[in-house]
Amino acid sequence: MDFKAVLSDYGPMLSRIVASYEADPAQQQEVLQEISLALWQALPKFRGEGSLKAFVARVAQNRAVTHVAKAASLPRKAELDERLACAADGPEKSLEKEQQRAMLLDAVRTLPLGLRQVTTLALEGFSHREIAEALGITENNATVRFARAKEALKLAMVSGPRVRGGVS
Amino acid sequence: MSDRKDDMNPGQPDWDDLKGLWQESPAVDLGKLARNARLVWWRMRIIAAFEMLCCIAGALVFAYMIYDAESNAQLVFGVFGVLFSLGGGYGCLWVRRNAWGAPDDNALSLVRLQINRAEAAIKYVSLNNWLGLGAVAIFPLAYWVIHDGTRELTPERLDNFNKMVVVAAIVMGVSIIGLWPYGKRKKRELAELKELERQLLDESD
Repeated sequence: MDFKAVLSDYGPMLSRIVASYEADPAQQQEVLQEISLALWQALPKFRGEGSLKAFVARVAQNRAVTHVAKAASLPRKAELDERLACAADGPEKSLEKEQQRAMLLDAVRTLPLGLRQVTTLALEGFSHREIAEALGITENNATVRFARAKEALKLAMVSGPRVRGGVS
Repeated sequence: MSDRKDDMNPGQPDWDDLKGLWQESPAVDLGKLARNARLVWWRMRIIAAFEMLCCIAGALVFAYMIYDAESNAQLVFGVFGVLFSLGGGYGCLWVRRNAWGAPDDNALSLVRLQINRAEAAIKYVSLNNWLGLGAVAIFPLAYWVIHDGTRELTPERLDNFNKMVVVAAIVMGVSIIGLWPYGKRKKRELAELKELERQLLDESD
């Protein structure tokens, strides 16, 4: 399997998953490197059982989880990335979108680990079955967790970013 | 996965909007990532091979010293050196044991792998301290060897030898002191990883 092609197809998804665990862009790069190494090692073992997308997401989620403990417990704000600005939108619209995206990322980062995993995959457009496959849980469990995750995300977005204590 | 607009709070974007928002992301340098992954993969193996080669080479040098020994002192020094090199090699292997895990492991086993790594790093610092202490025993042995009467010991030669001993002692001292903050950081990381392991275990219940 062509590693470069896999990275090319799923790179944006990987960077979003990483962003849900780490706000610091430099640290994000480090985690992305770690995930790409894990993928490089893991891809030859992929036998086509289940989707490649779910396989890649599982490797990424698992590696990102291990990063959580290393991350500083103090909250760090993501820097606004101007590359995100959509050319079709005016500056105000772009800024508003960027603020919403930053708010969403902040809210996702405050979720407990299990809910955060489900949320990022659901936001990626994974079905319940694919979430279950990627996280190694039952589909029923994925459905229940998604309902809880959405509720928690709603609350987190209403209350805004909060200070995290210890390992989140 | 799609949900109704009224699922989210009024004033907040609905789930599909959030998905759209989420999926707009900056481009990442994927070529660089791929190159780096390959580089790290080889680097890990090259470093491990280099460590083992150093230990084997050290053991061979001391083994030759045993073979070529002209005095008891040289024999003892050679035996100590072989044991020291082999012990060092075993120590490197012991430290790296379980440090490489299956890349597609689940989160809990990866966290446990990280715990193993952090514990290995702490053991490495401890091993370094013990090796430093062990190396202290080399000094009297080395003095014994140069005074064993099989060679002419000029004051200049003795002076050079003393300088070498001082440099070796400084290197050992620096490595012990230098690794101290690293060991402390790893202990802190270990505590955080254990907390994460507890969270993951709670979730799997």
